[in-house]
Amino acid sequence: MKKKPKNIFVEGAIPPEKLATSVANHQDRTNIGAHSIFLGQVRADEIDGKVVEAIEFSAYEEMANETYAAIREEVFEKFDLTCAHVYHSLGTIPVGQLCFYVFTSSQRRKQAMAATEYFVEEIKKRVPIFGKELFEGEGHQWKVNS
Amino acid sequence: MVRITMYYFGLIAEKAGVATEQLELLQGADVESVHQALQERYPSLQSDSYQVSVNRKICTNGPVSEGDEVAILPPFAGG
Repeated sequence: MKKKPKNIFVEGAIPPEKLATSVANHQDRTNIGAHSIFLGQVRADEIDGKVVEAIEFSAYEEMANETYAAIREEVFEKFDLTCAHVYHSLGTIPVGQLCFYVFTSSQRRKQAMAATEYFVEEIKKRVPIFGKELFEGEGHQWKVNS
Repeated sequence: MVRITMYYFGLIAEKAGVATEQLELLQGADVESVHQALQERYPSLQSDSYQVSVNRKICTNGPVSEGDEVAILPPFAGG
């Protein structure tokens, strides 16, 4: 039976406490020398005089998780990591809240730092996640990654 | 006829007014047929940029078969 891929999605914003918990959970892994962390936070972009107050994230979840699984395999082939944890929010995430979490660990720093960057860039490019930027007052536009 | 299940996302779903539907294409259908069917069914999509996936893999060409899961994907915005 084909193994079901990991689900990277969480409903709602990623709580800041998750970071502290992750660090604490790795403290008994004494072969780890470095963690490299990326946190994506929703920004109050101003577009044509309107200000973003939240982003509503949706995704083609099955394809997104399969694509993430492929990216994760690439990361573990290219970089010498002890572990990696990635989460992305679904639903309406207000400005100032976290929507994207990448946490990699390795014996030495360069592997973790390079792996985190690879995860961030490849996920933004290849994973079918969609974002509706909700403006203060009313109206919205669809976010496009640059 | 080739019957496929369409999934729409983001701006595409907003313009189509649905998230999913069944489409029937002629025998020998391919990714190009999907583009054509989509443009005919939803003319407002003509200026929009999107990718097509077949069974959860991005496809720029190739055949489309009975029972395939075809998604119309606007530009990604993850992260």
